[in-house]
Order: sequence, then C-alpha cells, then structure tokens
Amino acid sequence: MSTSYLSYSDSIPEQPNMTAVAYEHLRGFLRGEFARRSETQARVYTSRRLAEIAGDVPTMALALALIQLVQSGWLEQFVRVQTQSGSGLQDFQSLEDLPSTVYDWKETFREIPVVPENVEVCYRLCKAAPQ
Amino acid sequence: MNVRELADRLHEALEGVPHAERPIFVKGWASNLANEEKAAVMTLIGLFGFEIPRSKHVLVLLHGIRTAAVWQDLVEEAFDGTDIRVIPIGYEYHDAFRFLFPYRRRVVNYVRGQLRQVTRDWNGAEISLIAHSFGTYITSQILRTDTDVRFKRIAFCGSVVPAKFKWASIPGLPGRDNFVNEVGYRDVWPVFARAFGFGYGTSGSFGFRQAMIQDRFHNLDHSGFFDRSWIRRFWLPFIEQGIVLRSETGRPNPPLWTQLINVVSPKYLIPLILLIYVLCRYYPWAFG
Repeated sequence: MSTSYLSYSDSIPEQPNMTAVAYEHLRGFLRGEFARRSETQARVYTSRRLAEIAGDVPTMALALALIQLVQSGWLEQFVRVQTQSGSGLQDFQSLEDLPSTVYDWKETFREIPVVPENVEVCYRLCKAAPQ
Repeated sequence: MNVRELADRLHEALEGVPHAERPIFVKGWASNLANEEKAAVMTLIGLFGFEIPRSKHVLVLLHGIRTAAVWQDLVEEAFDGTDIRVIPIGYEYHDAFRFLFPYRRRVVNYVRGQLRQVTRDWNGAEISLIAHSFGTYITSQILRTDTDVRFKRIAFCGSVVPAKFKWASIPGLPGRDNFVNEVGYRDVWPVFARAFGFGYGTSGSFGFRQAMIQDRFHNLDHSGFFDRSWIRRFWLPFIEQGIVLRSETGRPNPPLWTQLINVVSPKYLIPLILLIYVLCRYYPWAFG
C-alpha cells in the first residue's frame, strides 16, 4: 500500500471516532422513535436493523455503540427464540435464561432445540428516554 | 471493558464447540461474567451470530524506562471500536542506571519471549508495533537477530536507536511506507542517552534519515506523543490503514547545545579529561 501524504496543515483533524458516529446516528433515530412512541409502543429492533440505521461503521464500533446505548438507558436487550421461518416464539431477558428447548406453538407444535439459527438478539425502547 | 478482547475470548471459548450446542454453551460461559460483559456478549452475538471472528490485526505496545506506561491505556482506548486487538507488553521497572548499564541482554530476552508468545497466540494474524524510547532499542536488538519476526507496521517514538543502525540489513522489515519514526525535536533524552550510554543514538531527536524508514517530525518532547487526540490523529490512521499524515508543524534547526553534545560525547570527554589530569599530575615529563 502506498503512503498517502495529506497536504501540510496546521490542524489535522482527528480520525473520526466510529463508535461515536454510530452512537449519534442511533441516538438520533431513537429520539424520533421516543417522540412517536404511542404508535410504536411494541416496536422491536433486530441487531441487523440497528446496524442498517447506524450506517457504514465497523462492526466493533457498532457493538460498542449498542453497549453504550443499553448502558445509558436508551435500549433494552433481550433474546428471542424464533421458529424456522423467523416468527418469534418466546423472549428471554438474557442469555442465561435461554432454555435448551422451546415449544413451537406456531408451526411444528412440538419442542424444538435452541440452536444458533433460531436465536435472535433484539432491542426495544426503554420505558422513558434518558435525559 | 475492551470489546475486541471480549470477542477474542468468546471466539476462543467457542472453538471446538459444535455449532448446534453454542447457545447453551454461551449461556454457561457468560454466567461467570460481570453484568456489563454479559450485555456485551449479547450484543456481539446479535451482530455476529455464534461465529465470533478473531482479531486479524494485533498491535503490540512496548514502553520505555522509568515509566508505568500509562500511555498504553490511552492507545488501547483510542483503538477500542476498531478491529485491532491491542496487546501491551513490557518488562519490569527500569531506572536510568540500568538503562545506561551496557548489559541489556536479559531485558531484551525477556521482551523477545513475550513477543514470541504474541506471535504464537496470534498465529496467522498481522502484527504491528508501537515502541517508545528504550522499547525502540529492544525492538532493534530483537529484529537484528530474530529474522523471522515480522511486523505489518512499526511506529517508533522517542527512539534511542543509533541513527546509523543498519536497517537495510534486516530482512522482512515492513518497508518505508509502513515504518514511521516519530521524532520530537524538543526531545533531549535520546541525545543524553547517546552522550552518557553505550549503544544508543539520537534518532528520536534528529531522525534516522534512512531509506527504510520515514521520519515524521513533531514539536514534542520525549513523551509528548501520548495524548488521546494525538494518538487518534496520527497512529490510528497509520496502524489501521497505513496512512502517514504530515505532522502539524515544520521542522526547526535543533538547539546548538544538543548538536554540540551530540558531537562531543561526555562519555568519551570525561574519561579523556581524567586521563589528561592523571598524566599531568603523575607524569608531567610526558608533556615536556
């Protein structure tokens, strides 16, 4: 890779902090969601959806931004176990609450094992927007 | 908490666990973590699934003497959120006396061992290095003998490696585009190191001026590089993407006294004066 010399300058900007960029994008989106809360009360966001909203940021930066949003009270995390076709069966507060099987009351009507393909980490708005 | 580190730990833990059993395995694994880390594990699984990728680029940090190397924490912080895993290495507290003492093989071997450990642990990953002060000397000694040690990128700062060090004879160096020597032209310590110690040089004050390395001059002293904003501005783009930004200031002529001390080295001058004194005192006939 060849060297990229930028022109001489008295004030070279800092490399943008991609975590901060992702955090700001997501926070802006969540502010809007809080404002329209009555319409979106049961709104759930998958990790993939939040990644789309955050834009083109490295995944590790996005991970940090999401952790910060959870810590600062914008979002709540939970784990959703789904059917094979992606329909939600049961939600759990944390990974520790995951059972080894869940009853599929939507499609197969039997106990199905909890495997990577039917586990989705989701987010929802906290009860109140943080100040 | 460092997310990249946590991701690597999870990656390691998941190795060998059958795919279908991973959710239940992670459930047990995460139960031993602090709440903050549990939430982070959930976030990582949400983004990567149960196939957490391992770091492909490792940044090793090597400190200088008389320091607790707090700057290593600043670098770790600046690189958090990138895909680069930062690994600080080092050696026990080294005072100025031990720094000047010419026997340094033990500390070089100790760091060599740590570096070898990193290359073993991160087999297949690219490794870059930021070294400061005595850490640059140790690096030069390791690279001189261990020709299989390879770095993707190297940044030196406050370097005490002699400017005439034969970099060209070292195989596998990353090349000029990926080897930067950060020179603080207010840094007097490399000058003192050369003046009073053996095997040291002034490359941290005046640069190497060699084809294999880019000297980048800054209006800084020996530890002036360790500022959060400076690290983000210069080292983050360099280590991540190989971008070498021009420094923010021009390069003035070094002060006269540093040039003088660089030419007339006290380590030779003092014994010479003593010798002349002894000769004059006890062998006055030698001077007629």
